Amino acid sequence: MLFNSYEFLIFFPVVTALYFLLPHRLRWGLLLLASCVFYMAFIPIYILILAVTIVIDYAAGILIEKSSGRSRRRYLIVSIVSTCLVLFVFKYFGFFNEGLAVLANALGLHYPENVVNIILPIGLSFHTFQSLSYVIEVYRGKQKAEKHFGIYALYVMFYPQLVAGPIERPQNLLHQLRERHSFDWDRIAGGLRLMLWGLFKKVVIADRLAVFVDQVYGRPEAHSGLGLVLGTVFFAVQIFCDFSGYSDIAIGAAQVMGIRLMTNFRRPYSARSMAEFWKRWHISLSTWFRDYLYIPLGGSRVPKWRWQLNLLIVFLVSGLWHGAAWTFVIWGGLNGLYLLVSHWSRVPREALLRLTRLDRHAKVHGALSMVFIFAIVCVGWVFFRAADLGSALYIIRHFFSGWEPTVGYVTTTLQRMGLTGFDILALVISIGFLELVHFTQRAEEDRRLFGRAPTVVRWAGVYALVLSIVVMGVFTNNQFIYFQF
Amino acid sequence: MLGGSIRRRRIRRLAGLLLALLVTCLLLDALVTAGLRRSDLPLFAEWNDIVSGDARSDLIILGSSRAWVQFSPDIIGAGSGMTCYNLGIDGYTLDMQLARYAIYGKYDGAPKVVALSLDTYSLNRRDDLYQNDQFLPYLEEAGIWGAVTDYGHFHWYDRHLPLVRYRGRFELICKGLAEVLHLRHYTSAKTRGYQGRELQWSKDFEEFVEEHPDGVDQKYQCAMVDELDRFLTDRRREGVEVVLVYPPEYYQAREMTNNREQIFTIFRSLAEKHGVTFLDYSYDPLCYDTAYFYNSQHLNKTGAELFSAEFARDLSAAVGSAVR
Repeated sequence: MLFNSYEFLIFFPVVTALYFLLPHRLRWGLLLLASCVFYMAFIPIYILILAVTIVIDYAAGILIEKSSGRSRRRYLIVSIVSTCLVLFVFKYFGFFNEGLAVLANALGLHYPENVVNIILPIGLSFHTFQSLSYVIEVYRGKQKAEKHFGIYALYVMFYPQLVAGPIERPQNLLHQLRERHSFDWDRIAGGLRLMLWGLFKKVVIADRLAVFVDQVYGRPEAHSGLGLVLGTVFFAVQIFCDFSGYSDIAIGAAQVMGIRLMTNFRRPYSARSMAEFWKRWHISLSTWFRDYLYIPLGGSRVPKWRWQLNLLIVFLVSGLWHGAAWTFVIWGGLNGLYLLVSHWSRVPREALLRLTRLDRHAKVHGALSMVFIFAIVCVGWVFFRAADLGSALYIIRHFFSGWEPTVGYVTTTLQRMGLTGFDILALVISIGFLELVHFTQRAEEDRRLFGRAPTVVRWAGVYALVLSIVVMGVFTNNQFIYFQF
Repeated sequence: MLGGSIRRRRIRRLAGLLLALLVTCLLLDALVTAGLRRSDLPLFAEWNDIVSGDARSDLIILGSSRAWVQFSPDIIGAGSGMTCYNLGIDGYTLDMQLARYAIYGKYDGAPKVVALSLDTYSLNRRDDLYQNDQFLPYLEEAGIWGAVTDYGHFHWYDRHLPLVRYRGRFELICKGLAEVLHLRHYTSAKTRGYQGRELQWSKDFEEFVEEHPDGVDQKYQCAMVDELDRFLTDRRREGVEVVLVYPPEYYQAREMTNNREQIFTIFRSLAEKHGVTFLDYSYDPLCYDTAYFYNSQHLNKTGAELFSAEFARDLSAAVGSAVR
């Protein structure tokens, strides 16, 4: 079920009302049932895959806790391998199969090329990682094994974050599923405001931009340099509004029921370095990789070359996590490379700052850094969005081709993208509103949207959001981009 | 006690917000609707004329885009001595064409003559509600609501909840508001429902032939045949003269409809049954020259004007006594 569907418009109030009407001891059952309904709205049979991983990791958690020494480690490995196997079969088998076929051909070997078309279960990478974090934390002794099967199943399946995160940790979520949550007006109002904000970002900004991005990335050769640049910048805004919009709705929906999910985005495009960007973008995934891959690999407490290798490995795996395609691997690798280059270039950059006296103008330096980071992030997004490697390289090669400093050139470019004056107006208003809210809320988390503002401003904000959604929203029930992962 | 008063205050505020939203939506809906109904935007111009009674004429042209771009009311009017309005509706087949006529009848009364422009696909109902924005300002009208509900595109909330029908239609909302606030008047290139297209022969037909070297079978539904039958019966009972017209079609396109003869047999038999004239221009001299067409089914402006003059003469001969 999509958050931006009419079904959810009925589903959410019904589930929430029942949640507060039911006695505490029955609430987990309601939420589990609701989560099943939510998930089965996509491809019902795939709930069995979820059930298999839940059963395996539930049992593994208990067995790990009860055992010690080698058998403890053995249970962990069995759990990780079986969970990852599910991910591999459904997400990566086709990719590796194709890779093997290419390799075999190159070596002149016979490889039976079986085309495997498996539909990826929605949100598989998200709930797989959430399950993995549970067994690893139990193994590390930081989390007690959950004995209540229903509560554990709900931990994996909790519907607001089931299909696109935030990827939760058992220490944060499990105990909250057991706690008694009363009807708290302020908390509920805050959650609803956040949901509205997420919906605004999704249907007003992301889905409108999607039309033009699809136009450019569907046929990049039909667009000029300006068109390709605009299409890419639009995609950067689209993916932020799409994914952070989803996270806001998820966090808001959970907050309404008294459950606090982790923050997933902190205005990433205001980052002034790549390291800062990754502390602001998809935080639940970045910290997952930090805790369960980067640190176990040795983190930064290893020789320098090894640390750099670790960093690159983490980003390559992160790329592969996003999708079984070389474009995603390159996207991940490129982001890893950005971090390494920023580390290698620290001394010359500081020298350049002194030379240009930018070190004395912190605000100008900050603004320039922000623009530069946004630009290189956009280059990465080309690989993320392009249909294949060839298209991505074509787009990057043609970024600066055919530019003309004439009004006619700009008009033709916009027309080719399908942008009308009304689209531009809608985008200026909606993105302007987004930036205004970001600016006024810069000291606050998004989850406290308008929270400290005077009543009039708060209600005016809600009023503006509802009207914007109705008037400027795109109601084509577009999927969220991150559902495919 | 304090909790109770805070709760009451919050409920009051929430009710106030909802009321403010409702009032804004009602107001915006009314303004946008009024603006679009006042405009001459291509999608709305004919509906506006129909609903306001401005389409009232002696002769009404019904049909699809082949009616819209091929029958010039000015030329036909001058040639036949009748006032004329073209109700051709782009993209639609017989059921919507007749629904439009029914709505015309409600607001403008019965004409003296109806010329129904036919196509080989006239009897094939389309599944989707093409260019559905054109119906938005009129969802309150029972006739229009009745015509569009079968398509399943609009729902009860589109008709009854304020502004919901315009959700996401930012451009329409802006245009409606600009019109109602007299900031801008939108016009259409159409004249009494007709728009001559100054276009040259395109490659569409060659591409179509390449795609379908063996031609195509046009589908038709018995229900649509019955609907046409009923329409002819009803008009006869009302004393409205009906003329069935098959406008010019590029001659090579005739070969591309495998069951063309079968469909024409239906047209001819219905014309015979009801004693109405069937003017078939499939073999008109215009059909043999691409200079008069922009694709195989549509005459360009030059072709349309020549055809309209010819049609006016034939029409006068066929129904001359009926209109005087």
